[in-house]
Amino acid sequence: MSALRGFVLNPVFLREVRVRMRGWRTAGIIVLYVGLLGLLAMLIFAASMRTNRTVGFAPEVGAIIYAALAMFQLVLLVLAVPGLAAGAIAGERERQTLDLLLVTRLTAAQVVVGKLLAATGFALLLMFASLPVFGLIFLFGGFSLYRLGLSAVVYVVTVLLLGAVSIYFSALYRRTQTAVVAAYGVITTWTLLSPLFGALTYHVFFDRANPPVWGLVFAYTNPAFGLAAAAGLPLSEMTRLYTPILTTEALREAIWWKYCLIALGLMALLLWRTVRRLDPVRAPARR
Amino acid sequence: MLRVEGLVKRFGDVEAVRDVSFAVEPGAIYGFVGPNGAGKTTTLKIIATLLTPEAGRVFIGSTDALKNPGEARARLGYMPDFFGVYDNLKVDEYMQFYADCYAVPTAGRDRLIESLLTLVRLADKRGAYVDELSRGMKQRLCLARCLVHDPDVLILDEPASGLDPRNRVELREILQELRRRGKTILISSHILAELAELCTHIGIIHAGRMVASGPVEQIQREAGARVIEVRLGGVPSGPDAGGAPAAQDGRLEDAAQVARAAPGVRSVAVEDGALRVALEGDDPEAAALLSHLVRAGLPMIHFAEVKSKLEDVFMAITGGEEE
Repeated sequence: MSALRGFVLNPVFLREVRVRMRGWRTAGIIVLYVGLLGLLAMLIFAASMRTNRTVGFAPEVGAIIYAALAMFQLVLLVLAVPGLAAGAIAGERERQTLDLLLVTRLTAAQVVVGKLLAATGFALLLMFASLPVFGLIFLFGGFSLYRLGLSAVVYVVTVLLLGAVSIYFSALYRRTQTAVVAAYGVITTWTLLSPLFGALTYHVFFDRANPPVWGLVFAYTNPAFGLAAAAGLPLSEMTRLYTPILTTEALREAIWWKYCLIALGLMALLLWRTVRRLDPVRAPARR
Repeated sequence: MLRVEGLVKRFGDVEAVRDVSFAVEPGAIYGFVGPNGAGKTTTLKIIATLLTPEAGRVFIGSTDALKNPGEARARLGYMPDFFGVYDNLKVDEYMQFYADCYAVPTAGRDRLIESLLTLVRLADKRGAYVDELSRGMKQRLCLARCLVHDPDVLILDEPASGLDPRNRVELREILQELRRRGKTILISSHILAELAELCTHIGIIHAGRMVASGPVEQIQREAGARVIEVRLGGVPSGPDAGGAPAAQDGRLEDAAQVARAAPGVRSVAVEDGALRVALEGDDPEAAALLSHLVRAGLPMIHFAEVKSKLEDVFMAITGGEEE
């Protein structure tokens, strides 16, 4: 147990956390993040009250605010994580501190895990800081703690996957700028454009009565569908896109855990490749 | 203490290191000398377990560094030729961080860091941010970092490069102190004069091959080059008589060209307004050189054998070529 603790809470992680929390920049980012979510919640609340004019218990308003906040938070995390993680290893290379790390007793795996946890830990801190905004929705009702818990699982898995993708590019490219561009390119294309592509694939190119099962790749690998299935109504309406194959409600809801499993598998594969690239004994020859 | 056997390293089509072998005795300061691109840094990186060679073996004591890199790293302190420091980290935190990375026990660690910072003359900078230190201070801090896990062997790649004379002297004193404390030191440098004063042994690498290795005196002897110092008088007539520095240099270069054509001459260097001619052979060859220079009409005022310096040995062995 202490070996695992030492592996996870390794010096790289602790140093990154200490340095990141120093100064006002981190506090500023947290305030900005929570402020943006709060502003969105207030705008949606104002808009809903204008149309519904409900007094007291208003579950439909709560559900709408929750759906909007949940998806907006996902978009913010998609935008934040590559920025936090893609410079992790390329930055060490540019600063010429990577060799100093690799000649210590730390393994390449410890360096990679330390970097991943430091970057994703901050994204998770942002999520944690946003809890009071989500707490406001309890005033209206309309969603359950169970759904909030499932959504949190999808968020955590998504942040880890996005972190692993970013760190992989960070190890692949020597320059931080290139790594950041590559990570943003791949992540935003996949998460933001693949739902659109999935919808087009189904509704334009395939016979709706007999669609191919491989089309589900868009559902099972996209965090937006994972979150939609986990968050319940009204977000889960998104998963109806796949009704030709996932004919029952239970099958559509299962998207969230299937997404999580695939994401964790993908994350493990990417981390393994990153460690192989970083390990001086196995890395491709570089001057 | 350190043994390197038959190292070969290729980068694509380029063979950077070819069958390099040498050994460093415990407590020795081994100077690793070679022109730029000769393969010094590549060899040091292989020893530091940062590169894997195509062939060859490296032993730190009895530890096979290529088979047990983790164990070797615990016995090695490595200082690269170029390195950076972290922003927003104080000197004490920097040392604590690397002590954590080397799994140095926390008990007594503060005292250890204090003593290392005192050794490298940075004790008063413990609370300063590392990115605000001068280059010389960063270099000394990096040396302290190398020592935090008390390694047997130090591998220092051009530690004096970019330092001003005062910092170089301080670094040399620190290295001598480390030798007194029993550390085995492998140091690469192109500042040969400094290595001559510091090292007990030298190894010369040229075009990826080890061309000489052993105690400094032995290498000087084995290089077999007699060094003749030649000084020229002023030119008695002509537009340059008066001797502007550029014109003096031009005359010396011309004279060096003439000397290179003489039989038995390995290399010629221009230094302190004189020619230093590395000559292979005995008195007849020296006489032939003298007569060659006189025939060429050079106004010699001094022709004498001098004690060879490490630069002369290096020039003699490598033929004065740069890669």
